[in-house]
Amino acid sequence: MDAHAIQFKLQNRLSDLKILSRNLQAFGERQGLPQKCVFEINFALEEILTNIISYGYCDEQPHWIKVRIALDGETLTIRVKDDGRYFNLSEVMPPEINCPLEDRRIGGLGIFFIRKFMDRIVYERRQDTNILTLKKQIRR
Amino acid sequence: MEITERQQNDISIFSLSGRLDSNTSPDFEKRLFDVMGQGSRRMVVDFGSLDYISSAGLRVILKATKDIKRAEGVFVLCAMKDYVREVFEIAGFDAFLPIFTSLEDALQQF
Repeated sequence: MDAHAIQFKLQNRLSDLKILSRNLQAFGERQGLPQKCVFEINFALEEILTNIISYGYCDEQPHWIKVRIALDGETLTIRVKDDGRYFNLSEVMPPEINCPLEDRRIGGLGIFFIRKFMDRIVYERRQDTNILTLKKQIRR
Repeated sequence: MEITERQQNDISIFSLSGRLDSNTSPDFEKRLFDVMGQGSRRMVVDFGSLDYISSAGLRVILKATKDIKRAEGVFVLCAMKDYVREVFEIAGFDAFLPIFTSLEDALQQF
């Protein structure tokens, strides 16, 4: 396996998000990524995985979600694969964030952050699998 | 995540350390609302040792802000790491939620 890549899988339960933070922390240290960058990736991926775990499945069965993160020069490529229902992030409307406190809703904010923290988001649906590819430029 | 809680005069101070995410937010929410239930209307959350926050954590903070404001209380945050503060700014929460650089500064607001 590529020294600049990491691969892991999670089951569709929120407690498995620990697997994400543990792997990401180790990867960040090994590759010398800035703490802010590791934080942003963690934030975005936690959003994506929480969406899949919470809304992606119609049955009560265990499912595996696969994550691969690779660093090529200063470009990070993150790929998330799941066998949940069709879900394309790009079709979700951004939230209204300039309204007063009373009207603020947190829903949709997660996706707003994913767009903010990632430079490129590509969604594909291939044979009952969602494949989300994210790119992030590392700024040191 | 570890949550410690103490009283100074009539101000409740929560100190968080570790990660405020979808696994730990429910516990923090319960602790906050327990204290509000006991009548506390002045609260500070110290983020000094907090390494990570997710949108589940933001959700708890937003809910507490609304409830305390409705009860005419004061709710402030302090001592965030730069990247944590940035999340609050991106979400636009800093427009209605005071964020101080240190606990000392935060306590002077009461």
